Amino acid sequence: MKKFDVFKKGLFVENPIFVLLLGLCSSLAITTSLTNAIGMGMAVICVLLMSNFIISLLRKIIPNEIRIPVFIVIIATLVKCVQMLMNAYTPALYESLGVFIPLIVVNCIILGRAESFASKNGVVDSILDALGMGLGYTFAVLIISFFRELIGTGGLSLYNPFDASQIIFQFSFFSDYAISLFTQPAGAFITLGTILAFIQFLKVRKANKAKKAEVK
Amino acid sequence: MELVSLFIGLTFVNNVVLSKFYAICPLLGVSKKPKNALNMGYAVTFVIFLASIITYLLYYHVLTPLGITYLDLITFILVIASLVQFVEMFLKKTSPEIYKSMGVYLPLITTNCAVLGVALDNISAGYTLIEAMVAGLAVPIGFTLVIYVFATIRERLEIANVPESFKGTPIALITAGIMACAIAGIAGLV
Amino acid sequence: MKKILKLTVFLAIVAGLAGGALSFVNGMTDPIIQEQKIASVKENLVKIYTSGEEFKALDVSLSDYDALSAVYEADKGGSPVGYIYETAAQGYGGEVKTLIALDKDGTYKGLQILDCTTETKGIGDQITGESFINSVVGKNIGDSIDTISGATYSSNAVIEGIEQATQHYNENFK
Repeated sequence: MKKFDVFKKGLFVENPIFVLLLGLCSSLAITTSLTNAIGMGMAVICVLLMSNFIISLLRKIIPNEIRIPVFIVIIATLVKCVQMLMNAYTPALYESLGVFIPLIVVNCIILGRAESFASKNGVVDSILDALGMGLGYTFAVLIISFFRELIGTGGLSLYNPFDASQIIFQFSFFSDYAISLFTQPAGAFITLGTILAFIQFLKVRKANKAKKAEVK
Repeated sequence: MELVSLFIGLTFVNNVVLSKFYAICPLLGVSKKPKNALNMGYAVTFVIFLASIITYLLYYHVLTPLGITYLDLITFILVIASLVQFVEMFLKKTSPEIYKSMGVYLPLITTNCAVLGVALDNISAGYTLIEAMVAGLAVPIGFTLVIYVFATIRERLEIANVPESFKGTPIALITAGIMACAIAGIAGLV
Repeated sequence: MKKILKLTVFLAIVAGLAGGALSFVNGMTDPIIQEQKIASVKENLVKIYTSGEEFKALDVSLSDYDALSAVYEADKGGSPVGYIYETAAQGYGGEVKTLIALDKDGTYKGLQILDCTTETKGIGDQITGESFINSVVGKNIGDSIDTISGATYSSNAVIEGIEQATQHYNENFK
């Protein structure tokens, strides 16, 4: 049960984007389409999984004084590997994600998990933590891109990340009434702001209910 | 003339914070007091300007001749981390007050996307050294401008009557969104 | 002192291992990436030159031409019949990328818009429309091309690319 909790907390209670507010740069930039969001999510999961795995393995050998530089070197290596692999096998995705793949290096989620979890916990827990956090990130960017693509283009589409010519699904609902602002940077801020406000609304309501119950 | 339009373009029109989302973390974190925001801006300007020159020279005069450009990411991030370390030591000695007020956000400049982002963009855009230097100056100035304006707006938001659900980060993000709209409005300038 | 030495050695080993891993992955992916680069363009090139021409990427300096990113030569029977330029110029929201073919017979042989995803939907993306493409293709090299009113930035980005390609062509291949 405890192991499952380690995994689960990344999804909701400690969701890296919606709750911890980490890694916002990439989550705002690449959420213009569902395909991009899935691609970025996969890349982040890969890097996070490998970095948590390696760092938790080496946590007893790495000297404490230079742990941050060592973490950064490990993460940069992993990110570059993922970047080259994506360039080779998912060229279309590589093009559309652009500079935000190498920028995973400075994504606070990766270094944050390395420092606060993987360097203190065992291998199995660290892998579960990485999976939870990675999926939580993917889940969050999917939600943001769902709204941005739907409102911004009036439809939804998903391409096979490994072969851009293969369309998995493509719907158009109200493309005549699309608000293209939402595919632009300003829309990203407004979408995330509104989602966060909604989450805060739920929290406040829950707290109020609890208070009322206490009074009674 | 081209350099001037590059400068204005990167500072305002393609402002990295509002159009490329670099450096959102410090924007939301540090920018509650305009004074802190300005200090942060100076430190970032220093780091980005030096980092963009050093990484540019390393890429074209060390990595490319040796045929090991695939080491770019590792090299860049180590250069940036060392520079930030240097700024930290420098500030600790010369002005402990600023050092204290910036707190945890100082070492976090390393993970400020704008620094690595500018270094990578300089290479991928195929800039010359002069253009890379202009970019290394224009981007952090744009960053400082946005973070300062943002901090002054947030100072007023503190006393504004914001709906409960939007208090804190949500309204800050919406504010940034409106600022991005404003910046997009001058897109025709360059 | 001993401590510093130990830390340095440790960091050096980590960096060495990282470099090794990277060069391994690079060796594995580089050939695929190179192949894909030519392949992805080739697919577009054969749409312009349709009668079995061969293509090769030319290794020429384009540093004076900020809107040009690559040049390809189309060969038929061993002699060049035309040159295709890959252009990228600033449009309204970002870069507009095109392929423009300049034929040896003195006309623009073909124009393809590779990427205009950053342009405003319904306005800027008119540059992909047939009427704009047809206003370029078939014209004599050097003739002026009209912008689309309402989509000035986007169409100017295309025209900028064409003008620089023309200049480069006149200086190098004419």
